[in-house]
Amino acid sequence: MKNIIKIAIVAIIVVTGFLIYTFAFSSKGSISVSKGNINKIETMVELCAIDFYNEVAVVDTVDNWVCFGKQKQRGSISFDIENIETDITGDTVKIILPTEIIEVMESTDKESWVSVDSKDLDCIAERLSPSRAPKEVWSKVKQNAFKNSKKKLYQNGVVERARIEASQSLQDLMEKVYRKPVKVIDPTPKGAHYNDFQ
Amino acid sequence: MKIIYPLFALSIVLMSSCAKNNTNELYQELKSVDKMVLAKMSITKTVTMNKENPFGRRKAGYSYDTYARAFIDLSTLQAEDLVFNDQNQTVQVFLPPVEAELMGRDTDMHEVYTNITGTRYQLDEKDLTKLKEEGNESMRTEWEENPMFKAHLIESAKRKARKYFENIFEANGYVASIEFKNSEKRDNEKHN
Repeated sequence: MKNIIKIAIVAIIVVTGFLIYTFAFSSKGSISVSKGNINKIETMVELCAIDFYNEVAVVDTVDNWVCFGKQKQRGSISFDIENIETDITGDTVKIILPTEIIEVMESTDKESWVSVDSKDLDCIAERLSPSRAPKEVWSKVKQNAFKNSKKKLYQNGVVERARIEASQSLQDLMEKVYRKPVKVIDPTPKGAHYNDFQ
Repeated sequence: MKIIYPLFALSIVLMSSCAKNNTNELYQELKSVDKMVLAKMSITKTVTMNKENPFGRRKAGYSYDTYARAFIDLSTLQAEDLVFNDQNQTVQVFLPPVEAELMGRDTDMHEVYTNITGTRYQLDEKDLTKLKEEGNESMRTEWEENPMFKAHLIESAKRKARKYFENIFEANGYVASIEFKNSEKRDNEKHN
């Protein structure tokens, strides 16, 4: 009889605990999304030579948090051709190829960012009760991933290739405009910021 | 035997601490293009979470921007698309149509408002990712279904293209008139 009472008490405690947990930590609710508002429109004249798409696995340690995530990135390598140095006085038009503009962004494809896991290296109790890295840490992890991707574009010669292709395309365009030979001079064939990323 | 566990734990910590800023490419796609980008637009979306129970509430609003650009494909521009009249010092330029596409989105969301009370826990990275996925889904639908975004962007790009080519030919002593190929045809079809 005593055993039955004990089991009943335990059962009541478990059920009560479950109900409290359910009410306290879950609830009905909704997520709503506003209509999109145009925030800013900017105009420019940029020659885009390369578009790229990356899927990367990101493992990074920030503020003693080890974070692991997956990111889909979209980006481009472009050149501001509105303000280029052009000499049209001679028989051949001379143009200096400007600094490359590299844009890397999170893609708008589905699940372009997934935070898989994080663990705190400082916390011994982490092994018993795992916690999650704060959003400021994740923000740094994602920014580092963009920097890394830019670095690889320089290291793998993609920026160099973009500069060659942009020179050719600029030459083609300006020969149509000026109707005389055009020479595009590239002062930094490996990229204007090549040394910054070594 | 007892020493194995601390050694195992230590090796995990050491391995973890080696994970410094390591980005591994799982897939990469590089595409050579020849685009003249003329306008960029940022579109703000605000995502709101509203959850409540007798033990507390969890209300939060976060916003982020999505970016789009308008361009002409220079690879389709032919020499015949520039018709010079040297006598009158004029040139007619028939540019390729202006196209618009999404570029990407902000990686971080900006907190607009939070009201989290009682037993409810603060929003973490997974919650924010979920909110952004909802916002992104809505943005992609709106981009396809609401012509207003593309229309604004394309109109700005056309103005910029006209100004750019007029200036470049003016510096060369020519007066330029700029038209856009297929889009002009489409406009004419609409008028008819």
